[in-house]
Amino acid sequence: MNRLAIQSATSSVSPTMAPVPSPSGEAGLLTALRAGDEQAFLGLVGKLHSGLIRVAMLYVRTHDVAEEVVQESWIAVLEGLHRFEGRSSLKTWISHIVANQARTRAVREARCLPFSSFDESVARELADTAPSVAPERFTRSGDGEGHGRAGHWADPPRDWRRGSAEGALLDAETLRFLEVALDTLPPAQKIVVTLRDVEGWESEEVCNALGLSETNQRVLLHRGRARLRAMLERHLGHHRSCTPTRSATRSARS
Amino acid sequence: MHTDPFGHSLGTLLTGYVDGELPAALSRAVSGHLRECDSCGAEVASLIRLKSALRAVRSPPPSATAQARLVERLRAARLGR
Repeated sequence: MNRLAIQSATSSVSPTMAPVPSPSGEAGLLTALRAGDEQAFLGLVGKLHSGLIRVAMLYVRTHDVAEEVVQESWIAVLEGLHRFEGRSSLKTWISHIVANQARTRAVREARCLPFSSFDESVARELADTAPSVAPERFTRSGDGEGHGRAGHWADPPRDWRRGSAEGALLDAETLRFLEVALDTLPPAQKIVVTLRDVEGWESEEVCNALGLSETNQRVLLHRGRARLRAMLERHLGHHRSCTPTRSATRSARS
Repeated sequence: MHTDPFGHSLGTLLTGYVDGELPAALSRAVSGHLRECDSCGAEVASLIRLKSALRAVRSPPPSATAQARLVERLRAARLGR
């Protein structure tokens, strides 16, 4: 393994500029890290750091404290690499270290959130029987074929992208709105949607990091996405401006 | 495969579908349904768009200062072995 010294300790590393080495997968990365490969280490930091900040923020109040927690966790990772046995993925192991460090920090500092608060959020959000999507957007009784049956969409989600090109990117203003909207989600939905859809973590990684069952994780993900989509639709005024779906068009013609 | 009046089961099923996390047989069943069902197709399309949009919201990498501090600690840890 080529050990690369970084040219400057202040050089910027981003996930796109310095991807985690992957020729031989996690085993190769682990070998590089154990050999003290700074480039491999910074690549891993660049890939995981922001998601780990999100995990730490479940337990501590401020971003600055979360940043400190994650930095300390990275040191714990370096010091503990020789003990890592590969029983879980490296990401799961690191996220457990972060969660433990954050809980310890939360206990040490009385002004931080009690560490049961995330579990309470999960329980509260799962127990919430309010619909993820407004009930009036579903049909209530069987009055026809297909989507006339009860429980189908009466008012399906619309394409909220601006412009007509398929695959068009969201404009900057909409992206900013999405960031703000994400921040308003209930805590458990927010962390699950963020880790899955913003940070790109796999379902199993999120379940392991947060101690969630796969079913509960999927429910939280679904509810969080449904809320975000509803906020985006309202923000972009969809009910006023979108073109009808094929089914709506057929229905209008009949 | 449909729903309770609030779309809960349908929603979580389609969430699993767009994430590629359903068992193969169930995923095939959903695919078959989507060929006949415009509104479920719209739901799936909107979930895919939302996922795509959220990927664009990616958090910034750690600051250069934070990285420099980590490198210092990494080097110190190596020296301390």
